[in-house]
Amino acid sequence: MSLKVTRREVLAMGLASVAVGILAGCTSTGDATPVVTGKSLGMMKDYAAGKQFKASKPLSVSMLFQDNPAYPYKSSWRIFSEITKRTNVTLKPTVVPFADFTDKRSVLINSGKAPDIIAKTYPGQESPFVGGGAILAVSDYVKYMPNFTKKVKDWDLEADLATIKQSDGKYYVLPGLHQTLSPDYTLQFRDDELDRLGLDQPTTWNEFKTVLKELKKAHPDGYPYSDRWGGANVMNIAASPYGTMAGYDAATSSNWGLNNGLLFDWAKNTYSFTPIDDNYKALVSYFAGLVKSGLMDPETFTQTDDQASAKFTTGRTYAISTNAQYLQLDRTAMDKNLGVGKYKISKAPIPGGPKGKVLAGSRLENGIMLSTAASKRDDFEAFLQFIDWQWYSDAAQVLVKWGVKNETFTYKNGKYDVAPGYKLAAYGFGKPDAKTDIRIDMGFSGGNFMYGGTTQIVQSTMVPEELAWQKTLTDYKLAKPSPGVPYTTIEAQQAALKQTAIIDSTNTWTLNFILGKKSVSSDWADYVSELNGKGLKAYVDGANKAWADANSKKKG
Amino acid sequence: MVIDAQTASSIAAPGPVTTKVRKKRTALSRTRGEKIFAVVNVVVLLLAVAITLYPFLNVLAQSLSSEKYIDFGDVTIWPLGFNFDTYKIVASDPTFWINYRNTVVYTVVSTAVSMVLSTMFAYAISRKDLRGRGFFIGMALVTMLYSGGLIPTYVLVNGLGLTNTIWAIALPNAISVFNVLVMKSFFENMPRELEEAAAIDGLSTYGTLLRIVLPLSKAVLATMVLFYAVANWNSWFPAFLYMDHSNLYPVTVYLRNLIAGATGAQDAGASADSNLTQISANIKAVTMVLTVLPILFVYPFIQRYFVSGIMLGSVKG
Repeated sequence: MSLKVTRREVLAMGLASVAVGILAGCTSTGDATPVVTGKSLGMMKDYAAGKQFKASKPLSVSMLFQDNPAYPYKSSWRIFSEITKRTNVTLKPTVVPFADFTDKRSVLINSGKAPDIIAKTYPGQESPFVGGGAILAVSDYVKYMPNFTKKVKDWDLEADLATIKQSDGKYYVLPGLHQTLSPDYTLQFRDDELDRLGLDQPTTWNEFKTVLKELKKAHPDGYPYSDRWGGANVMNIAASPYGTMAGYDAATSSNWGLNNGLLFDWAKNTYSFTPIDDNYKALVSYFAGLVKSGLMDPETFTQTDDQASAKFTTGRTYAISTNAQYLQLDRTAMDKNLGVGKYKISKAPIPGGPKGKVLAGSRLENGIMLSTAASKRDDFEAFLQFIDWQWYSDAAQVLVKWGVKNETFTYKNGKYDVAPGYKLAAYGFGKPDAKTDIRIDMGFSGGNFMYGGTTQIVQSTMVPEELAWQKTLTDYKLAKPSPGVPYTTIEAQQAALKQTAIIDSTNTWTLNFILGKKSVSSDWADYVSELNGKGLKAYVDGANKAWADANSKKKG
Repeated sequence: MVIDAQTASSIAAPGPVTTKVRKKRTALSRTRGEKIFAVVNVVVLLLAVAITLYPFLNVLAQSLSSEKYIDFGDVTIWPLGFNFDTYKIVASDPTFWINYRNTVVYTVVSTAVSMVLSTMFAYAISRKDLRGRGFFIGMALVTMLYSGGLIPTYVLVNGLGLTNTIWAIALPNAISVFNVLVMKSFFENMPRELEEAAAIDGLSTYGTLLRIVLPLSKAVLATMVLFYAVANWNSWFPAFLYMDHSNLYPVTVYLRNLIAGATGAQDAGASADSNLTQISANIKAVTMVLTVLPILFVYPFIQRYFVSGIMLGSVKG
């Protein structure tokens, strides 16, 4: 029997791309509501937003679970038994190591063996699986998810959700929803050294350069600034105030902010390829200037994160990219390397640029995909209610972050804290010698369950220092995110071919400009013409055509 | 690899020769060019040894150093801030030992399966009187050029119900065609008369294989055991693919998760909730050392078979 199934599936796999190609031409225009009736085993008849979900019959749900080496998975974790106790649902995790999570996810989905819930999926990562049909178009079913729909409505997230819609107007990932944007990434300095030199933390990119110059004067031998994440973070956070998109980490091939290079002009209603415009040119010139004057370590773009961190934490450099967790990690390292109290570091304000203080970012976080196979379950409606409660209700978000009230955590005067005898070391809560870490020993505050939530719950694990930093962000403008290009499947394949070549070339040239191997003033035309040779015009026109088509379809 | 280079260098630079006559002859027969060649050879090979040995010694030194010196970049091949604390930390993680035990079990079982299957296959196709011999050899060769591909293979292994069992690791890659071909040419060089004599004395084909051929093939068998054992010990991908629970992983997956997982950057859009991890350099080093050591110790015991085994198989074939 197993052989028969296997053969059929192999065949199905082989034919999948052909089928997709043929079917892509016909877009389904019917508004047929997917059928859930008759699959109501175990559902709660009076389930509503804010109400505790408990299946009327025990449910077993499989889940792709990302195993983080900082808090390795244990089947005995309290979080699983607590979820079962509250919801009558037993989670069966398929545990996948952190390191190659995306590879295994892809194999499981493509072979049709994906668990019901696929955790830790960033918006955009679902696109490759849409054509294959193994992933559920969840937007069809959100009406069974009252907490989700309420949050989208109350927090005005429709526009954000529009950025993850595929060409069929549906979305395939249930993203984490944030009530407010909570950026985390910025720069950090050796504040003690700035104090010694009589300098303030810079608030603009020009001031940043001035500060680096002063640091260089005081320490002429090395580079005052060497960065981790392949320099992608600074490029990303500088891009918004320069009015463009940038940021790609070549060392780990990870995209930080360059995306597809297509910036949407909301006034003209068109996409343009931002890495060839004047804003991007100004941004690249700025960083090229830093490298040329010996202020920025050219190794930034090739070294590993460990090397960059080691340079900063051993006092060889004075500025580096950071976030709240890295700030703590660096402090731990520097306590050891330099000695407690012999240094001072903190998160600096995100610098402003020519367009003022601008932040980009989406209030959608990584979330979960659901397997199409789940929709065939007899208890599908109860399953959807469970998903809604577990990932979108306030009660569940407190549970997955803090555990059980008055046992693992306390809540007084709007403040969360761990209960006596417990700690949450990763965020600096509880006494270090407390016996039980609610993350490592009980599975709470882990990445597979925690995505977004109310501002209060998101900020509940922030230390006062981080809360103060978050407050500094209130006077920033928010750049509206560029919507995803609503390609049809065939268009998406054609665009992907061009995009890979174009983005690769953009990254190579950007790096050469910054490292001074090419000159921004004299070689820019060559760069643009190389991109044109790779089909840039067709790429941009294709995106605009897809946008126009999708909009005329909506109106029609 | 290290051992290879050392072995090679010891071949290139002959040890002291004892008898006078031979010494004279050696000196006479060596031209100046040959002497220069020998010197250059030794220098180049020593350099190769240094290049291959340095990273190993560096990791070994890091595993015994305190993290502070590693961060400063001061540790080369000598430990600084010498301590065994990191070993204690790693050894106190039960998952590490569960995974370690898995590696040992997987390696032993997979190697045994591979040896049985490869030996039988190689012996069969080494017999020139085997009907359809060309077909069977061709069938093996095809797999060197084409594979089923990742997803179909996964679907097959899953469909056969092998996932989350040791057989998902031991069976799909049980036969290495390269190894089989080396064994085949070794068996082909065995005097046919031996087997004929055995047959006259009443031994069956299996009897001949077990009681005549295999006892005479220790060199090639030892070499193959080494090849398979090293490959199985180092392998991580099949386990990563077919195992769904961390208590089924071999230690290589544990190590990989520690190293690659800790350095992988998050995508943009990661918020204040992001789960970044950083595992200190000395913990990585200790795990690497503990993972590599056992298989490294196998080499010296098998080395004498190793050289003769691989020469016999390949050259005379």
